[in-house]
Amino acid sequence: MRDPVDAFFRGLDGRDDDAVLRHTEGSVRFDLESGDATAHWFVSIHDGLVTVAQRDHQADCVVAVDRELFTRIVTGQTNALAAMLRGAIHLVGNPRLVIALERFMPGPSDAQHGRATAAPGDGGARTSGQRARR
Amino acid sequence: MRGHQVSVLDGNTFMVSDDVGDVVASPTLPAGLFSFDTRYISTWILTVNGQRLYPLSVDDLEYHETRFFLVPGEAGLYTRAAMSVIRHREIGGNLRERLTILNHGEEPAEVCVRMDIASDFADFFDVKASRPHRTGKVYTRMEGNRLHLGYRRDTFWRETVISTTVPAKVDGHGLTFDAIINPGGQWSTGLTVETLILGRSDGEELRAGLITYRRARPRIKEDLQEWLDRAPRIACDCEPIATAYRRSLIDLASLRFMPITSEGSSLPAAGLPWFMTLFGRDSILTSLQTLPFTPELASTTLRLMARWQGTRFDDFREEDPGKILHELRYGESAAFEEQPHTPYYGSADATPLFVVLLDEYERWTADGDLVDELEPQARAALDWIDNHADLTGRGYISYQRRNTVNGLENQCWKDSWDSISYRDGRLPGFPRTTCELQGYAYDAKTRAARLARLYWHDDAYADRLVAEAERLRERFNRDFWIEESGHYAVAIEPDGKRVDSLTSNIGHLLWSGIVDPARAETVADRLLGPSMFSGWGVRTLSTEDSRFNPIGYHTGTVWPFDNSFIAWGMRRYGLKRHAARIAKAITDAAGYFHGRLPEAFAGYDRSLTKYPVQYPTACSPQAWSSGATLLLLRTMLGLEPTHDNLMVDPALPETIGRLELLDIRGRWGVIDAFGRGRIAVDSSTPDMPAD
Repeated sequence: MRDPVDAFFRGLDGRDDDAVLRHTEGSVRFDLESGDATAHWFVSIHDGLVTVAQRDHQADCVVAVDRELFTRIVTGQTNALAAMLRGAIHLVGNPRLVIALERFMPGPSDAQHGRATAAPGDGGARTSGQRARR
Repeated sequence: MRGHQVSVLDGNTFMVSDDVGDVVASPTLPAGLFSFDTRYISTWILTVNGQRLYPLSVDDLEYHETRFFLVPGEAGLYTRAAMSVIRHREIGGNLRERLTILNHGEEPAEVCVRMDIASDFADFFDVKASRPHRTGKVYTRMEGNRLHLGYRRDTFWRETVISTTVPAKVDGHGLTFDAIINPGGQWSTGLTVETLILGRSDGEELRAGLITYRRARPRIKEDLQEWLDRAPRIACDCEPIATAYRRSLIDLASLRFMPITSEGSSLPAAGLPWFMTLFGRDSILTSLQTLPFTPELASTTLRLMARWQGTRFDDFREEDPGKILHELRYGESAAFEEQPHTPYYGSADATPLFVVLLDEYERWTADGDLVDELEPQARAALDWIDNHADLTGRGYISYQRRNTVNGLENQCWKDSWDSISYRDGRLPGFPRTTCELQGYAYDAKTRAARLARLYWHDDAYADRLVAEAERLRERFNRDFWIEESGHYAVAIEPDGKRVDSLTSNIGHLLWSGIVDPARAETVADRLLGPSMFSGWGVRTLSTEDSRFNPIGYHTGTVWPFDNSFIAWGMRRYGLKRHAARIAKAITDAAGYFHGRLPEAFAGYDRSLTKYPVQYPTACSPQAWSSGATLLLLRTMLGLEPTHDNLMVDPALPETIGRLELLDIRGRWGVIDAFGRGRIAVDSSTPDMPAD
């Protein structure tokens, strides 16, 4: 089976999604740590195009993360922003670039298109008297 | 908690205390020092010689700074007090509090000053839901003049560090100072509280390495003055309106929120203090209301919403490609994915409203660069309307939550569970297709067509959007109109059945322009009829509907923000007198709140209560209530950008007299607008014959 981290970066290489990449320029290095070994992936966003190389190079933002956790992120099992808030990802540099790349992470594999789940019904359990927001 | 609550804040760091400055929080009591949705201080109690303090006065005119003037002991004795205490509290990143004790006696005073300190590190959601729930470990560490209170759960690590400028005895529950104060002398110390977000095993501040993160913002005061100077000036015979305008501008300044990724610019958060975060709907609607006054809020809102635009399907977060977020949170429950707010996308209106804002922003500012920059996001938002929002196949935006655990049932602005009902009280099924969403979709397509022609050089796309909007308008006017009642249904069922209650939602239809012009006056009359118009504004639900309750959150109260958009809608259809009536009602009400409009008033008849009864709410000010005052000024003066000019077409209630708005910035440069009240408005009782 293909390594999901390799697969993610291979899929990222060459992405040119306008909505995410327009007016975004810079580079992000991912330092994936497993045991004593660290693998480096250098991702550059330039002219609306993503290029990926497996090398240790100075970047505008450096993301240090455990390889196992990163694997779960790129397979849609956990959310990258949530992992950052948990303190499980260490970020140095410009976070905006990481937010841009976060948009390329897959969602949960069992997620449904809205229409697939929509069916006339009562919308699930309700707490009586519940007030939604304020 | 005794006394009224006093808040100081800077962005999403804020402290809520009682009127002596103390915090005596429980897991469920919403008080304390919060930052990034975590409570960092839950106990903060000052005693002098073992005595709690008594308030003389509180100076909380600035949102980031408060002075408490206090005396030790109980009420009644203070006139002879030999000592007084000043707590000067400021937030600018960290919390700083200067304690000063003055000895007014003729003898030296021996004092023991004690600050009891604790933290429960409660998550915002748990405080809000009154539900204590933490599974991590709390720790305490003393280090010189510093007290560290910490909380860890797995890699989640938050720490409060309290330090003092004067040496103290530090124990695990607070700081103690012993001092002798000479007659006429004073003793003082400075306390600093840092709210840290630590990461991984090395205990490094997570934000320290981010180039966009600036912890200290010492220039808050200068910044506020610049903010006020940039906004248009008001001159008005009606002092309550001038007061409400200035109050709203200051409140909007305090409501500015600068997310870590925003690179130093700010957007309006939803409400103080609990809703200081990214909110799609609230930030966008507030930006729309404030465009003539503070257009910079709109550009940041557009950029930030674009940056977080959905790219995938995620049922827990209700994310779809192209969807604009609903709410982002930073606390423990979001971090452990117990709450879906990283970010949560459960909002069916933010996406079309994003496109509406982009166009309205351009009409005021001529900022074509931003329209170019956000073209792909605008297209993705429009694609969402067609591809992912049409849950019933009828060509409308609908919603049905995919997160059935803690997702929102109603994903429109009336987001409480019982807000959408039939006249007889039954709740409709899902997916729900509420009317105002269709208006927003129509407006988004119509406006995007204009941008496509002017900026995106894509006439074919513009033609398609116009054709789609036109078909939507026809379909909508056929499917939602209830001929026998003379108004639009609040929603339709998946099978097309009309949900027949009379609601304020139909006012938003006027704003969006989807209303058949031949029906506009009928709709406006219904909104100002006795079952809808209370005298203080248009109710969310009519008194004739069975779920009507004058203090029902979305089932009978009057919301100033809602009314401001309705008035804008009436102006869109040339219904000046109707719009003036709403403007008069809401600005009258503002006078009862020192110019700070609350989130909502009770929906009692004005003739019954004589004054607007505030709906009890934890958040004040609210961004879109502050924005309501500004939007009503716009509707009264009839400000409308046309090509490179600003059209001014005043329609003021005669009680207002003269109203001038000077130095209105925009694509025309700077323009002044003048108006004089000429419209007779009877505010005492509803007099429209429609009902």
